[in-house]
Amino acid sequence: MAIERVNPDKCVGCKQCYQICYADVFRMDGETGKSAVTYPQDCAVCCWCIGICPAVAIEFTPVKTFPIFTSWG
Amino acid sequence: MKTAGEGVLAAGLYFNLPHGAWLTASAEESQGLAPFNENKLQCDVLVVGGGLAAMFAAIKAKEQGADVILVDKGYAGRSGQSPFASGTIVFDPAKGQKLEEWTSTLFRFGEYITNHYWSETCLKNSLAIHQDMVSYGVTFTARQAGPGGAPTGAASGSGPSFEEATYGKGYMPYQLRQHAEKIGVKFVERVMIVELIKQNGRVVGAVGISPEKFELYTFAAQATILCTGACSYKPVGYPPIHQLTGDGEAAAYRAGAEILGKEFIDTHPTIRDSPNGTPNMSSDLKQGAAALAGAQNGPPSGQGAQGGPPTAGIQQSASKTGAPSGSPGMGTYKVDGEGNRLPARAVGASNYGMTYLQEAFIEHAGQGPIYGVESATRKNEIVGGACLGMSIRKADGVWPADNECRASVAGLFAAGDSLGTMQNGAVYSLNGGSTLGCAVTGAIAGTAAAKEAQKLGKVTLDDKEVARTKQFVTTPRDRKSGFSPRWVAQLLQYTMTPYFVYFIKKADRLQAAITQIEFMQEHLVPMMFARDPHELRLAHETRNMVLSAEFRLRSALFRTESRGNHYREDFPSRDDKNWLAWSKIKPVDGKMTMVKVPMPKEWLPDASIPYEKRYLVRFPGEKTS
Repeated sequence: MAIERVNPDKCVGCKQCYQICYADVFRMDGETGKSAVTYPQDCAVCCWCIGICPAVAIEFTPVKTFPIFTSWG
Repeated sequence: MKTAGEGVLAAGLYFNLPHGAWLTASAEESQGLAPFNENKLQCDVLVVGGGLAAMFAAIKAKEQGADVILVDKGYAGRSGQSPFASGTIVFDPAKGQKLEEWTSTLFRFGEYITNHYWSETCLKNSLAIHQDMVSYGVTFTARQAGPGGAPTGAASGSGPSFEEATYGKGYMPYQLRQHAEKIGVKFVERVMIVELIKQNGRVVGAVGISPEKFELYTFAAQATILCTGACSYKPVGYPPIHQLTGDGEAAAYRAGAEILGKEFIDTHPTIRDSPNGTPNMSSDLKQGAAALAGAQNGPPSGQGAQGGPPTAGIQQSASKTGAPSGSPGMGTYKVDGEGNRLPARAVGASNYGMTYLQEAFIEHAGQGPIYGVESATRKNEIVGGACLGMSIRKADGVWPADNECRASVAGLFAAGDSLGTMQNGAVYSLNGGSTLGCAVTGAIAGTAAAKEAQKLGKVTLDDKEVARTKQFVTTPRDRKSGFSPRWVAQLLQYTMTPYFVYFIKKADRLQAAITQIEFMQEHLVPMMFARDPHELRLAHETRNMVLSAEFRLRSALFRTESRGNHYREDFPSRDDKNWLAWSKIKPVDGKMTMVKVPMPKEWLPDASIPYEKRYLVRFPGEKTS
């Protein structure tokens, strides 16, 4: 499903994934200070977040799931 | 009002959900009621974008003494295609290199509609730009010389010696950012500029939004430079292009600016099994991303196989024979049932860009699928559409109204991939030329914009104009029902992706697609709605992508010939009598109007050269005499 989650046990709250993601997939949690996947459906599987994360906290599968195509939406 | 089906797909987060399923009671109550927070900013020069062109524009404007704000949709230095650039061309006459040798090859490969002024200006400034980059702290890791390095396809010894200075991916734009910050450029980030503010016929600023909070950013500036990159419809491959949704061009067009015709498509293919492992990244996504990070930080600790040294950061050497370099997808060829390579194509067909129209021709003839052989044991199926929405480099963007990167509307400049210089003509053939073009036009625009801005007093914004602009920006949020921007974007992709609309064009199919796009523009786009700030950004991006599709289709319909990366099944030959010209798009009384701009006579090719020698690449169906 592409981006799955940021492992909160590993995330150090450096914000690099939040900054680098051009699809705005992440949000920083105001209480924990950690990153959370918020818009997984917009993930383009570019893997920049994975490359830049110093804590190896980002979990993903390499498969991009596309939405079903419907008559309206 | 909630509809049936609410909540049914709540668990399927990756599907386009019916709108009812997203709204909660509290969101519904607050929607339309919570005001936008307002931010007002003022400067002399507003640079929109964060890539190579934007950095050079901001740096040069600042060096002129202007007060500069750079506003980027993402994180400047990491956005757009810039982190995936890896080299720049350096033309050095002190090494005995001759400009005419370089340009004659480029003009021939560009099928004679290269803009000589911009092509030559970029090359003439390339040494100075390279020296600037070095002084800003960019380190170059290799310098490759030799015939055939670019443009690809030149046989050994047959062309001039192109030198390319390479740098690790991800590094150069980041280094430019450090320098820009150091000299006092102000950065505003995670703000998408949606609409330009125009007063008395002049662009005097812009309005932007945040994807995270309902916030409006109103900028006032004497000069605005659009460095928003190229355009895409969020294609399956080339993920860094996803953020390039033609925002600058669209805003410029709505402000009345002329736009370069968009008929010359970028034809980068991708691999079906790993669509984001496209030629300019390593086929291993993680390796490519690690290269990006590694170029700045060094390999992240603890990543093991996921990290590693930035091996993907160094562009591969050009081979001595001039064969295209790069990862699978470049220089593809057919493989028969037993895995034997089929005969190569016509001379010149390995030209960068031409190769991929070749793939479309093979598929159209029913001879697909096509494989690029990566290794003895792995066959990757090559598919098209990786760069859906893009033109070849420098064949997207605002029409340059003069030699200082002005748009045709006062107060507005453009640079980089947002400026349609036609520096490469109808085919992109000069590896490193894209970086060069972005840097040079950024530098020119920044300098000129600063000089112009400094002659004018600070802008005072007209409240009525600002209110009108803001309303355009906020309306999708104020709607409580309508169409999802994601669905509209998906519909756009489905309409534009088929090769028989996009690669192999014909009047009736183009018109069919135009009919769909017109309906989308008239009915769907105006009724998009946004449930949160993230979707508000999506709504505007989608609006811009649909407009770009209309630009593309009308341009393709207009050019009744084939040339370079534009092929018409119904006009398969190059028509030098009528089409040694550029096309441009002009808003006239609210209608999109196409205009033909003939090339200056002194730039025309030698008509005495026979057609089949003037044009080395053969198109299906063309007449060569």
